[in-house]
Amino acid sequence: MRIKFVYSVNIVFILVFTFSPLVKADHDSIVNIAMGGRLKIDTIYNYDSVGGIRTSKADLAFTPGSIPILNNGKNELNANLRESRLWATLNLPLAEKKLSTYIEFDFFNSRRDSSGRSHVGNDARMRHLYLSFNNFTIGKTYTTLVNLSSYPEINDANGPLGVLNIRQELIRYNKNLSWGEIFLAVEKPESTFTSATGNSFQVNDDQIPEFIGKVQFSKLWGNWSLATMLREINADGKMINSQSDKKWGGAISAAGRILLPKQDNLRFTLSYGNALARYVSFNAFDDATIDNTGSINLTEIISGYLAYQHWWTRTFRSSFVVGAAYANQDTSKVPTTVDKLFASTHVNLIWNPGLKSSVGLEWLHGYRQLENGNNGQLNRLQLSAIYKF
Amino acid sequence: MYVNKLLIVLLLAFTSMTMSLAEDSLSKADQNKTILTPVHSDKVKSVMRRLKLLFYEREYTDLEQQDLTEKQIELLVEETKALVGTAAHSSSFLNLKDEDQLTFNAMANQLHNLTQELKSKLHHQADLIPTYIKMQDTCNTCHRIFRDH
Repeated sequence: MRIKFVYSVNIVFILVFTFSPLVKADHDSIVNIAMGGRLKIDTIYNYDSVGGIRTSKADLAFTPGSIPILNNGKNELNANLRESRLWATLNLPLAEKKLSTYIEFDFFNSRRDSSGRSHVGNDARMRHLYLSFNNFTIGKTYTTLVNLSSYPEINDANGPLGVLNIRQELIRYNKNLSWGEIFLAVEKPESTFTSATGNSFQVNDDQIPEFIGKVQFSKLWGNWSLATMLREINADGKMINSQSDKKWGGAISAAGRILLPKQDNLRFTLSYGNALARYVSFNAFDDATIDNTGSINLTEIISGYLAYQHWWTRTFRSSFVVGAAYANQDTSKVPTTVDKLFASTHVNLIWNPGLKSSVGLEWLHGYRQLENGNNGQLNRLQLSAIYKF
Repeated sequence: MYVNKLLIVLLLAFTSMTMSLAEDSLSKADQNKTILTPVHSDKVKSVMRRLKLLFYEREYTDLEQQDLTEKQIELLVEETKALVGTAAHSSSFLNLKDEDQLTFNAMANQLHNLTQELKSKLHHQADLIPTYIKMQDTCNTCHRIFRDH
């Protein structure tokens, strides 16, 4: 069903791409359709390959859970274009306002074979599809909890540890005010659990949307935001037969970008809560632990990162990023082999040889620690080239 | 092992930041000589910086980038318009020769015209950068000419 939907969207995208010049020619003064994209080539040298069947997705984009505890991996050189993107925008004046739609794809879709083993395909993956009109945004895009302005410029596709970067279905209202902007949203619910055996699972039976509010202050020296979220974590009796349990939890997140002298800037995010897990670094931890009686305990998380960007010249710059995510796991319910701490460091040098292109080299170091004290590390060098069109 | 690497990175970041702050205080001392820029340049400078960072954003969608760029360009249009007004009356409070007055007026007008050009290219993000570079050059030329006054 999902694959059919993706193909349907692909067909619409191709149609829009094919006929957009005609639409533009006929209605240039009314409808504005624009196509664009970027070509991104990544060459990655893994000092500690995650391994697996064919190319593992975790070897291409940093995933905290893939940091090996037992370092049996060997060095590996890889290359891919999966973070290339294609997008289309449509702006249509409507009742003296502007209706905008946006669709964007990359090529990071991964499929599983019949044995359930995952390998990375080059299939299109929908990143965004939304409509904006009269202060409302409806569709799939980045969660309201995130302040994208605080996102550091790095080569890795997934971002530093501690980043809140999920994209999901939402309805959002935003209002511009003299001091900044306010956002109110209801977003798609989804609860994730760690079982008594330490496995991660989700029930897909959530019933109440997730509520998120954010205020963003803009000043001459930069911006900062404060976001808060309220969620119901619902086990729905799926794990332990007819033993249902649910709890309400919340989270807060402060994020921003501070402009420093010259072109330098400091970007940060700091988040805390007992319903934060699914939002941190692609579900680095689960929302709750569940024991054999079906009772759940929400996982308290603190996560964040600090990124300093320094401009060496007008076209050369570096970002120094340190991020971490820590979970206070209930080890009376789950084994001590569950994750306790993740951390990552990114250092890069990026250059814009032309107006639309950039080339950058980045070193990434990842660290992972389990509740039982065992730990692992991962080192990676990534050379990326981007051309925007 | 990890802590050592972390310390090295933090040390690098701290050193770079300290160097930048030192450079900035030097350039600020230099800017004290400038008599024309204090009027509006702080705001123009800040908007120009935000605009430049927007060109290099990777995670905003193209639509969000258009909206954010539009807001910054609107601010620039407003500020450069005010700058043109200030330039026209600057002889009353700045001790400029006639030819300098003309040059200052021309520069302020050029900056304002370039912001209008930026506004017209809003839906073509990639085309904004050459105009932005022209604006940067106009600012720098103006600062260079009048810094010795």
